[in-house]
Amino acid sequence: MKNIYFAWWADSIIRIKVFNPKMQDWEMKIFILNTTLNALNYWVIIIWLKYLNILKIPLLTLDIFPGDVIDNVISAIINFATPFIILNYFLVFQKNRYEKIVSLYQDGKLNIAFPYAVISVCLSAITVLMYGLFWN
Amino acid sequence: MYSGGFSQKLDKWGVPSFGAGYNFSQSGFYYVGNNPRVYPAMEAQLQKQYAGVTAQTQAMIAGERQQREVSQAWNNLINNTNMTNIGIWDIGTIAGATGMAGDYAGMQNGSFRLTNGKYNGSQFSFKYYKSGWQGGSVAEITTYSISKLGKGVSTGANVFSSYLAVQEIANGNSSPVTYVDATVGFTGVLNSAASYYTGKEIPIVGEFVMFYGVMRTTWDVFFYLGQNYGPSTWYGTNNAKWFK
Repeated sequence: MKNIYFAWWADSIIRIKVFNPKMQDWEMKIFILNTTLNALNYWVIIIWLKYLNILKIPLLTLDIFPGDVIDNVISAIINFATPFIILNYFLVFQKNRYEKIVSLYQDGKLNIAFPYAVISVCLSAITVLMYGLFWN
Repeated sequence: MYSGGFSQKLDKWGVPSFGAGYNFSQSGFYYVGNNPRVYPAMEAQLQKQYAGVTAQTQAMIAGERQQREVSQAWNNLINNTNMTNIGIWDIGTIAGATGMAGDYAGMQNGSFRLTNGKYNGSQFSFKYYKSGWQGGSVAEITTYSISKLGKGVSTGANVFSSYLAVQEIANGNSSPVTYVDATVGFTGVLNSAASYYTGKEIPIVGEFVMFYGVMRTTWDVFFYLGQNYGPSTWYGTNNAKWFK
């Protein structure tokens, strides 16, 4: 599991550097994207558990800003993304650990990052569809 | 039916009857109005009392009416905005966002300036350059590329729209626009992934998501502020306040 996780990160970093060589803030962008994909998968699991009446995990709901949009976005980040922000930062980005990770998987023919993104988004879309059709 | 008496005649004609005297049991002078007799001190007190009650009743009626109107408007909104029949509110939002994205796509090559350059004192002077001029000249004007600006924040906008839909669904507080949020957000995330991992990007998607996120937030915040702090709330629910 650990190897797949690092292989996925290595593939993500190698690909973003290959296909976007002029991108300067690639670290931040790849961090945001991959963390969001992690958060989406976590959300999918929580939603299925909730609406199949298996397990209801209490969620934080903020009411600080005017309207609902900003509150909802911050709540979602805290609820779903925070664990992965911490995990990804300390395992991959702290003290440029990604350099070592990339060097470990440099020669491997990896094709994990984009399929993972497609599957994650598709699962999320299916969950939204299921929610709209049956659980709403 | 007894219809005699001068006072009754005046009453029938709509003229208030009148008179004066001294009531020993009440220890005071009185004037005769309509039945029952009301003494001057009592009348002032009663007038004050009934004025208060009247204002309170009017305020209650006005509050109830306003609440009913809000509830009705909300019900109409819900009824008009279901999955099979997206209402005017959503269409307006989507159309606005699409229109702006279209306009934006048309000026993707453009650039803009915020100041008139160091030579002219760097005073605020916004100007759009359709040619995408990169700045410089004698005035040392700095310009910003619109496409670069859009791409710079598109990842954040994708994430923003996705998280918005995710939280609404997780809370079970979704509305028809939640599905639009989800579609826009997920499409944006996939577009960013395609761009980063394959070098191919779906045209306009990033910019569209950015504008959608901005418009959605702006609409939501201003709708909330208008509803809670707008002119309709400046005088509370007491519509009689003006006449006090």
